[in-house]
Amino acid sequence: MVTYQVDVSLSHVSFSYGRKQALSDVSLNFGNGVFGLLGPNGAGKTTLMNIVTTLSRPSSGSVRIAGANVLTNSGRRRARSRIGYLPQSFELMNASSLLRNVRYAAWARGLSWKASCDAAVWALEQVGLSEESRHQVRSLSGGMRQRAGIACAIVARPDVLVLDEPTVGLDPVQRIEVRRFLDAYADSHTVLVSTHLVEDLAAIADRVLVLNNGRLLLDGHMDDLAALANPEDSMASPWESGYRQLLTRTGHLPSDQDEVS
Amino acid sequence: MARLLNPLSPLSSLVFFLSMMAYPAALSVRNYGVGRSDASPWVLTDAALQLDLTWMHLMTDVIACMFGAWSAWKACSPRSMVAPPWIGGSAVRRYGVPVLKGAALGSLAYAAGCLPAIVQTLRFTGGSVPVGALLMGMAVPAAMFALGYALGAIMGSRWSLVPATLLPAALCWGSVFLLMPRTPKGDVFPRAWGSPLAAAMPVMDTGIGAEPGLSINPSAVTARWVLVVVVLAASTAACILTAHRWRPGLSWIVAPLAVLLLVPTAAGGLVAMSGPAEWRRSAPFTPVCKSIDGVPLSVCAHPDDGAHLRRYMRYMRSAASWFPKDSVEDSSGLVLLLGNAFTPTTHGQAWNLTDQGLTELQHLGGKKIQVMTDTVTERTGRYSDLADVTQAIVKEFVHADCAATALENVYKQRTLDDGASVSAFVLEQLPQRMSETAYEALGGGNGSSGMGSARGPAADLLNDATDEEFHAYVRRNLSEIERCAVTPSNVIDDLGKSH
Repeated sequence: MVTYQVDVSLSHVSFSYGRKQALSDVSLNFGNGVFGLLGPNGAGKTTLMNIVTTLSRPSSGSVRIAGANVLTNSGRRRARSRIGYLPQSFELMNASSLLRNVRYAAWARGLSWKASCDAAVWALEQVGLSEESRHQVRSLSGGMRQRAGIACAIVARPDVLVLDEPTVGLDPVQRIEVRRFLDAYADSHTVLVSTHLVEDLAAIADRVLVLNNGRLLLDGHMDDLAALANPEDSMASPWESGYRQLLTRTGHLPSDQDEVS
Repeated sequence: MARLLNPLSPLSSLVFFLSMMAYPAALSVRNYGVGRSDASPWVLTDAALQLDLTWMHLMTDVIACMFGAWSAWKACSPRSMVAPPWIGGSAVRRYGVPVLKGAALGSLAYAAGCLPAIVQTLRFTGGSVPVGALLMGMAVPAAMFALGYALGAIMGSRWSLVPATLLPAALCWGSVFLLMPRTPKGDVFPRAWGSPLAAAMPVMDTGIGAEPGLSINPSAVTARWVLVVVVLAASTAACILTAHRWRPGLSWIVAPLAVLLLVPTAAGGLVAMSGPAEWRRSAPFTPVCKSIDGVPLSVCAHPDDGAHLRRYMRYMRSAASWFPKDSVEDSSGLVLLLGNAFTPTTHGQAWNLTDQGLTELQHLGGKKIQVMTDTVTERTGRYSDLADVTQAIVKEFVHADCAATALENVYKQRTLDDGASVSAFVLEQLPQRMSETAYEALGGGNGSSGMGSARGPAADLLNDATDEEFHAYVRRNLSEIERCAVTPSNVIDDLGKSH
């Protein structure tokens, strides 16, 4: 059994938007490694990430990041300095160069102006954008822009890195590069990745969490997901098939027979 | 440079700077036509340098506020990757520094936009650099940028541009309407210096030009900048509160918005209630007066305003030349008092003069007319400062009581049918013709004329007469005009010969 250094801890966390329950009694612990978050749209993935990144306050339960209770002001302040977050859609200063964006991101996170330069250069190197550092953000392609966002998220080398769909818009080579970086980064940090691209998680995730309707359906390894696969499903990878089977078994998707009938 | 502007990009900052400068600079440049007779219609040819302060503030403040909101949306909204609310690090640094930078940039842009007007005003008035007035004006865009930045940070979307447009517009127009009822009626141009709201209201800047006998109150400048510091602090605090509040929902927005709107409002209220008046008037003074030889016409000014005397003297001399010498000499005379410096500070006091000044004024005799000589004010009409003077001169030297009723109908009559209608028709044109002649002599341009509605041979001859022909006609026939004894056929006989 793999053991992790616990950096993020959610205990009996629930969250509701008015009457709609977005998360129900979720308890999780994350240490170093890549943690994949899977689930259909509206499953509660973004809500979970908002709670981990201290944007949303849980309706009940407790959240600790690096030992800090984020429900207190001082705890939240301490926690925030250790988090990096890439939202699904984000803004950059389009009229500025890539380097200026990332450097300002580093400065805003508390680095000195001088140190921010080194940090920005490092971050851009990690996402393969060193050569484009002087380019204006508005001139970047979608994939480059996505990697620029990742560079901003990692520039202060956060202990906990939360990424919402980080490989969207990337070509296969870029996706592999990002996976490689995340895999290496996770050696000494916590990386929580939400994605619909199961292949990405299969390549790097140490652990996968499947959410639906605000409930945790699976907390295990990607192999656990593959074990659920339907061998007759030739159109899907074992993980995709397993994911589909999991949702079907738990009544969240109609079975193949139901669909035929 | 990049570090200096962060998070504002150099390109957008340049666009912002130029946009901020555009309107005040355009107004300033218009004034470069001053004193030129060949200027295009686009150029102002009045002898007054003018800046439309209301519109200038409306434009610059809206731009400053919008740029603030736009910068905040890009740099520190929850969707931003550079300085979103959910990161660690010093919040004062994240929000306070950009607010300060943008505020400084807005202030500098305002000052740069006003520079042409300042230079030109100094050339014409020989005054000193209007530091106080400039500082008053520079304060407002600074505050507006900060408000916009906070709005952008709170709303975290491009929709923040909507309130960032409406808020400064409402503040500018609101201040115009708030202060308007305080403007006293009458001949005295008040310039709102008496309003306690002036120090807090955005558009109530002082002008860039010198107004003799009036100076800006340093306490008002200080009060306004204290208010700006409060706005900057409140905006930064609102941003920090936004970053610290939990989302989603709407309750988190209450505290930052309250800080952003209520704190500056309360501070503005305090400044308005207890703040010093914007203008400080000169102490009672002894005026400098000049009279035209042989004519009971005099011009008086504050001792600091010697430069204006010559221009008004030339104007008065030109106006007096329209009337026969004996009729001018027989009149009780006119005394022009230039500027607000003459406005009394207390009720029951005739003028803001020393005992010696009052005695000198009394010795001059005649009717006293106070003329606004503000060098920078909203344009109220062509030659507006001298229109009243011309009317007064006509009233003083032409006593055509018989034409009073006809004058009331001068824009209703279709033809000139008797002596009264002819006198009224002539009297209606007279001030305009006098102004035209005077301004041509002063190097000014032509203007539209105030003609009656009557048409027909006599009316057409009067309308078609050149200023010189009209001038000669009035001098020849003044006594008949005063008695309403000129018939339309007399006009045809007289003016018809010269055509």
